[in-house]
Amino acid sequence: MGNRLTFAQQALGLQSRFPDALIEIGRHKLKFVADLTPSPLSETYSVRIEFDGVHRPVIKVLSPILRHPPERDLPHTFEEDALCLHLPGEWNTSDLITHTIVPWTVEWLLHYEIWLATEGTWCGGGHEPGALN
Amino acid sequence: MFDSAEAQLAALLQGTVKQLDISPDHYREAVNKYHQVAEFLGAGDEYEDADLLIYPQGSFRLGTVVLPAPGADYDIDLVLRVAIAKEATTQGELKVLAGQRLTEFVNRTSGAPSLEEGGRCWTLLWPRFHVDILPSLPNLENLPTGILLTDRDLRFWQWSDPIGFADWFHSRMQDQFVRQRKILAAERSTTVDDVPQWEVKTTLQQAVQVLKRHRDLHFANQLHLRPPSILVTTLVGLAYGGHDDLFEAVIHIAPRLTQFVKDRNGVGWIANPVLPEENFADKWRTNPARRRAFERWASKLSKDLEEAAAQRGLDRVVARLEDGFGDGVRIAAKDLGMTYRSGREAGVLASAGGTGFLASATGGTKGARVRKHNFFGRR
Repeated sequence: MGNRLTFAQQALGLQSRFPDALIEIGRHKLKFVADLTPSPLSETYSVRIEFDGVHRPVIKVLSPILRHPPERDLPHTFEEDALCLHLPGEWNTSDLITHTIVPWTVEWLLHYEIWLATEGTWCGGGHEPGALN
Repeated sequence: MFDSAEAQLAALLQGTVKQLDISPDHYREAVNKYHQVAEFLGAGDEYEDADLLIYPQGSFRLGTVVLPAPGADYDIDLVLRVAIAKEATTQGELKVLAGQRLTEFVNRTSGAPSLEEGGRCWTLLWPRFHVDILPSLPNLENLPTGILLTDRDLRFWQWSDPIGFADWFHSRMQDQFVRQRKILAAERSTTVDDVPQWEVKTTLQQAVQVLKRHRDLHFANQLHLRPPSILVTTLVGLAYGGHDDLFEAVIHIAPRLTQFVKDRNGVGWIANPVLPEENFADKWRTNPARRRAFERWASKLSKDLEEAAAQRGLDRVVARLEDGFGDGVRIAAKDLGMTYRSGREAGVLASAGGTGFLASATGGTKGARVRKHNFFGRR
């Protein structure tokens, strides 16, 4: 594991790749809000990433509201539909959010649309019962 | 990967018709079967100067096969050309002669198919394969490829030229065909001639398949109004704008279909490109409802394509396409998802700055390569 990156380093990385994003640095929190479009036919999603400097970043889709059929939960999410992008150990505080969490979020959004389109097939891989591995 | 909405739409349509195309294994099996018949009859192939010739015609020859559903039986059309002058035989005799030889084939072949008689042809029925054999004579007034057909219901010999038609169709896709064959040859480190023609699938061929699929579903409950494949294939060939991208090709073709219907003395006319006196829209004359149904279908096709392209959210695009092209679109959507996934697994998926847009790292899009990871979560 490398050195833990500061909020300023993370913010700089995000700012350089997403100049239109909202980036706020607080004492205990880094907040990033940006509009992301995974692919040409995809919707544009407003996404918020919050990072406390210690734990894994928390990713929420602000709009549009994520949809799912009544009988099915959203795949690869935590409570309150926060996205779950990686296994424990695949990300740590020495990783730039802009090169990891953000592209993984975009991928999640793409596979979410395919999951909706196919009525429940998750093509993104990962660890889940019933996923295509 | 997919740089444009058109490229994604093309992948969805391509994936949909691929499920309904003949697989390479089945293609080879079909060719083996017709060679078996040809060999028994002592027939030659294609342009050979022989007393008997046997060759495929229609969608099997054109590379535009579209099954009504995955796993359905294949209908394969063969021409059996018997080198007799029309003055020396009658339609009835020719048909009976062909029937006798095919009966011998069935009786003497192990694992033989069964034989059935139709209006113009004989049908050999194998499991999965229905092979129609159309007895014909050479047409001395339209050499080298013109033929004369028998028809139980018609007194006169019917003119036809399936090889000429296929050559015309091929001429409409010649440039891309040559380019793709070269690419395949390079991929296989072989010569262009070693790449079988049928393994090349051009945009025009796929465009025909896309339109036939849409037609099949649109007319599923109105088979009596359904425009025949030869009519659709001709119009697609005429309206094709030379696009490489399948979606660009079909959205160009769809609104132009009706422009290629001509009027001859008040009669709707879609001329056979190689036999201008043959009207593929002949049935419109006695049944004008067919023409109206064709026009409604063409406009529905345009609408389905345009509205699908206007949706945002892959799920909405897929749902809109399913209206016109059936639930195979969903399987194509899964393949699309798998393309992105294998891109990441191979380390060639990149995410662009600004929008996050996912594209191929080897393409023009600047972006960070997506590092490998596993989606996780308690659900």
